[in-house]
Amino acid sequence: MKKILLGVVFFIITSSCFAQQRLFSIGYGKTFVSNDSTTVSLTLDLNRIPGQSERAGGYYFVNEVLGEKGWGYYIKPTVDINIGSSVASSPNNIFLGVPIGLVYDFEKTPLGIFSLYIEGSPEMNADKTFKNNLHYFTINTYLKYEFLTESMLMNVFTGISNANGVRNQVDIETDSYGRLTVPVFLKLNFWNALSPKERKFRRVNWTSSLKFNYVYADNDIINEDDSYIYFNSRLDFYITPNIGINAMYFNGQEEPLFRENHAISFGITLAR
Amino acid sequence: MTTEKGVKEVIAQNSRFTFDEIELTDPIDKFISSFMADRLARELKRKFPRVNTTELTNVLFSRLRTIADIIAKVDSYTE
Repeated sequence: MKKILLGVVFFIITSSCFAQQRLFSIGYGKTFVSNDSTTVSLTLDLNRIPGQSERAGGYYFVNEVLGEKGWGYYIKPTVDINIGSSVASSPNNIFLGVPIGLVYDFEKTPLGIFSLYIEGSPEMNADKTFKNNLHYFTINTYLKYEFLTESMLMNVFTGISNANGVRNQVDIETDSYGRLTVPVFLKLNFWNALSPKERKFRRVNWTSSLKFNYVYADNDIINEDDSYIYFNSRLDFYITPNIGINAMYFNGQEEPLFRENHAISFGITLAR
Repeated sequence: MTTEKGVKEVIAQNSRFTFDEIELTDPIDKFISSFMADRLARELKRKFPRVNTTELTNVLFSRLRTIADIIAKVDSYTE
């Protein structure tokens, strides 16, 4: 299985089509739950916020206009791979998805720009052996608010997501899996953060998400409750457009196993 | 084709506004959201092959906030 994982990582790093936008992080972390309180991790992030690249500027795999009145469509491969000395430093080890969606930009108002996203996505969420995993299809609707000032771009997303699929677990029969999620995403993108008068390029990204998960179908042995909250926050300070320093914080319970997760980590971000 | 005409054409093709409705002093977010930044950069490169798509995408909405800013940046690639 390690070979499969390394193969996936190698594919992501080398593929010209899927790697249009890269966000890698390598760092050191501390967890507050397990005895193994320190971790070393390699994180690969790609397009994890719906309808919004996590990198400055950013690319989608496909992002095109549909007609002439504010509609667009996109295909946005999404990856979150966490490799480290402790799985407690992240809720999942491997997450893969391919959201395909429609977006409608409403006309700008004095408050800012509102956009509507409707997307469907096959997704997989697993531990690093791939033996314990969730496979499902999600249908998602999000409303985005965007506000631009002289020194900041703010994006706020909220919506609802429905996942339907199966849970595969070692020594347990495959079970059906269903989840409703209400997420709230906040992304603040500050530029010229150090020297606004000189307009030097120093970018700071602060991305946070709060998720309310309601699991309405799952294996009772794996999942005893049905409601979970998960919060994470990440700060990236870009020294150059391609290199940054990051701090990440997780707290709550999240797929695939909904175990308690509480960790902080620091690292170096490499973006292209 | 002048840079101004090319930039305005690309923005008009990617927004609900027409070519004649786009003014040099207008902010870019009047016409498109940041969701479209990468697409705008790619289409500007089609018209102006010397444009560096990655660099342009990085500075759209941050350093380049008006139509005039974008035109000046595109011009800087061709000088």
